[in-house]
Amino acid sequence: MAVNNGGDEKVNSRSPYYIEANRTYVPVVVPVDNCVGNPVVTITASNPIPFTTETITLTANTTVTSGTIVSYEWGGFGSGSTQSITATYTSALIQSEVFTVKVTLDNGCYASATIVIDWQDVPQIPVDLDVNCGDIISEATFIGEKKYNLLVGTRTGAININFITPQYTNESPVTFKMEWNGTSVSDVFGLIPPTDVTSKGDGYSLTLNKTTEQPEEVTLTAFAGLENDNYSFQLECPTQLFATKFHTLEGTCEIGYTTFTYTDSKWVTQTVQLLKGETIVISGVVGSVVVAECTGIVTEGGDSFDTPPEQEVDEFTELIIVLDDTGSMTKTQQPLMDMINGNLKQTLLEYYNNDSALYDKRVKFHRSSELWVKLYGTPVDASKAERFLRLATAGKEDPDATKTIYMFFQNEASAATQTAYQLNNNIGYDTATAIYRSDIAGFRAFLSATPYGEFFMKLFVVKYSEPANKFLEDIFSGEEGFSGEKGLSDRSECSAEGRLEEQVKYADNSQYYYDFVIEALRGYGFKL
Amino acid sequence: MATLKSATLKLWIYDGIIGNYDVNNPNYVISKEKLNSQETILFEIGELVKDYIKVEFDGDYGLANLTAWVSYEVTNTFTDLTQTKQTGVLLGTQGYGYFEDLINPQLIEPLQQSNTCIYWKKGEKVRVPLYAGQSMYDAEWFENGVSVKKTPYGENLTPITADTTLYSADNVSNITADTTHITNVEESSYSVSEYSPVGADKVVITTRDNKQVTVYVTYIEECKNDQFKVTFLNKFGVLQDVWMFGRRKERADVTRESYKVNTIHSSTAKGTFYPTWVDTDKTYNVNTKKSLTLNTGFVCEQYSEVMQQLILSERIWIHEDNKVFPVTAKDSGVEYKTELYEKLINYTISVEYAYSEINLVR
Repeated sequence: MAVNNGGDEKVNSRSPYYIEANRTYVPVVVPVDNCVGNPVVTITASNPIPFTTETITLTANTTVTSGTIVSYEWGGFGSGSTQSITATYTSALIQSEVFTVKVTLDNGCYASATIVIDWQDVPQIPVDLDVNCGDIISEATFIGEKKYNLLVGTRTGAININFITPQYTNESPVTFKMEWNGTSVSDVFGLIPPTDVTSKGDGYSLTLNKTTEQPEEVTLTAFAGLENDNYSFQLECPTQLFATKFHTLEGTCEIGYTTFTYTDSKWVTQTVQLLKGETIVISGVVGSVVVAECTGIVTEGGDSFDTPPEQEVDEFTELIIVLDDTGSMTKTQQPLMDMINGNLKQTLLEYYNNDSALYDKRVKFHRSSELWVKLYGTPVDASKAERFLRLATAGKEDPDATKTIYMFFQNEASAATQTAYQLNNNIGYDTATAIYRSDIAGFRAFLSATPYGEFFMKLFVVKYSEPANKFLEDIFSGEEGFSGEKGLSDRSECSAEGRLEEQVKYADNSQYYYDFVIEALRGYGFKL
Repeated sequence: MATLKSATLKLWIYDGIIGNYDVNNPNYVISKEKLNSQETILFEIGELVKDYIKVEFDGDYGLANLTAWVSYEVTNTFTDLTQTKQTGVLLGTQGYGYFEDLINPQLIEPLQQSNTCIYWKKGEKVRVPLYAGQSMYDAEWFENGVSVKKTPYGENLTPITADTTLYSADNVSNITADTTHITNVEESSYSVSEYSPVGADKVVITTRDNKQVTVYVTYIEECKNDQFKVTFLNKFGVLQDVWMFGRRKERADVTRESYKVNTIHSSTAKGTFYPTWVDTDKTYNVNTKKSLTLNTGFVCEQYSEVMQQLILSERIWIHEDNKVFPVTAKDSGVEYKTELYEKLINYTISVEYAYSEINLVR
């Protein structure tokens, strides 16, 4: 008789139940050493207590004082004739297997060794269930805890567990807990007296807000203390945003509309129709922007974002404030200097390790004419000092700076000659000078070569004559012919703010300019 | 050649999570030497296990305690003094096998009752005892051929293959009602109750290898007699319900003891030497036990086996007034009936309450 206890699940204790001792042990015949002291053999195992699913290596280590090894003979649960063999769990019942080896020398002497390998059961690890966005999970009766890996990836925003009213009554309360990056939300869902409508049903959710892309791991655990229960839920993920770039679209169709299609950051296909000469700047996934009907021009710009990526001010962040000092704005200099040395310093000093000298090194003020001379060396005239694009193209001042932010305070860039950006009292790209066209091309080339996040530029348009202000603003808005490569409307790292009052009454305390500077930094994603 | 010389069994019987026992304190340690005339060593543990299984039922099926984990470790010593160990975990119940079920009866069929026809009180939810073991897949209820409830128990259904095409009987990939595996659960998870929606007339129980067992439900609307539900621990070691639709007769059997006393007075202070109003036979220790005779009403032939298991059961309860009371079967036999000769089959069973009618609990 043999009793197969290994296949049994139950003991029905009103009937006898027999456990049979293991009698199928394969005895190991260990050779007796015939030449005591030579050779001496031991066996080493790569893992003496492996799991039953593992493969191990057994090696015979022999000490020989005379003679040469001519053979290895493995026995017991092992087989082979080499110094090392591999072994796997082979016995159905015995978890302590004996391996032997006999090592024979050319002089006829031999010795043997044994080793017992205790195979271990593979521990039962609860299997977590991976849940993708949109998946519906239906669970039936269980007691204890179940864990779900919510595969939300780099998505940020509200992660919802939306319960679905099951077909059958779910009576017992279940505690759901969602965790991400050390934060968690949990609640108990079950029947709500006196109506006995289950909160594990339609209209009920558990929500956690994932604020950053990393870490990606989000888990949900469900603990049911009682049996006779079930539930269903659907994982609702926040919309994943895809990387996009600005694209300037221009219709060139002679008759009717040019139709463009593109994929936006939410992976939704969008359609735009433009008449000939009309332009628009859109954010689209690179490669997705196409002319679907008739003819048109697509110009790719810089990175675009639904929400600007977070930036940090650190000790290597350089802030360069430039004042157009060509005459009409000279009274703005003092409040700007007061701001830099006063409230702005108070705000930013901590980011420079409270090192005043370091702050002074990184946060700088320049009169535009002096900066031109410093950068380009030539004697300056008013029109050169207003070429902010050329000035900004110089990039960082400090060689070890990792982020550079230019802030220009300027009211015009016009002159009666072709040496500035605009001819007097004219607006529109057609009135832009060759100097402008050259500077914008150079500046855009510089931007394209600079990774996003290393350079930002803000132009504060200070009130002046309408044509002069409008010209500056058009460069950034793309209006009046400044679309695409002709301006900066397709660059996230450059923008204009207008229009600042000149010689405002409260400029004396510098707070007016401070507010603009701080807001500009925040607009680029700096956390202050 | 080394042969088995002796063996030592360590036995742990416990509730709760599997494997959660004190390794150093087994409930039993038994050592045996193998005689030369024997080939092997056997340990019989049935009664040892039964002593530690606390059967408790207060009317709440979900909280009923019927099982315990049984973990064992056998250390085998061979004639060359080498040793091996074998371990195992079993689910202990107070079930039993018949002689025909051979040694170590398992009784792990998904349906944990012997009958597939059920007679149930109309308007009540049907309860069917199931074994949520590894072979269990789901239970689906039907009413007039329409599926009204489906409870999944496991996810790995053996695929049906037809030539080169792989078919799965269930392509809902996210159902993971796996309370069925033998690890990581409490032993109470194995004996589960499957409840029907009211009115369901059939339940189909499917195993992972695509075998099906169908249990048919017949609802009885009895207007003459009150109906009583009897619950008993059946052959499988789980709670099975039987409704008694027929006539119920009750009887109280009284026991008493008495002794005699002399009532003659030695003075007339109390009026007479011979008071005729004083009892000479004094009664004491009066007790009574109530017994019941219950009838199933007309049922199918399979109830012969149900009735046999009922009178063989060591634990029986009757549901009365939203409570359960323990009863003991008084019958010592059951006569098998067939529709061929008896036409309409009714079983009568006698039970008595497993306590005295007078409260003697001190």
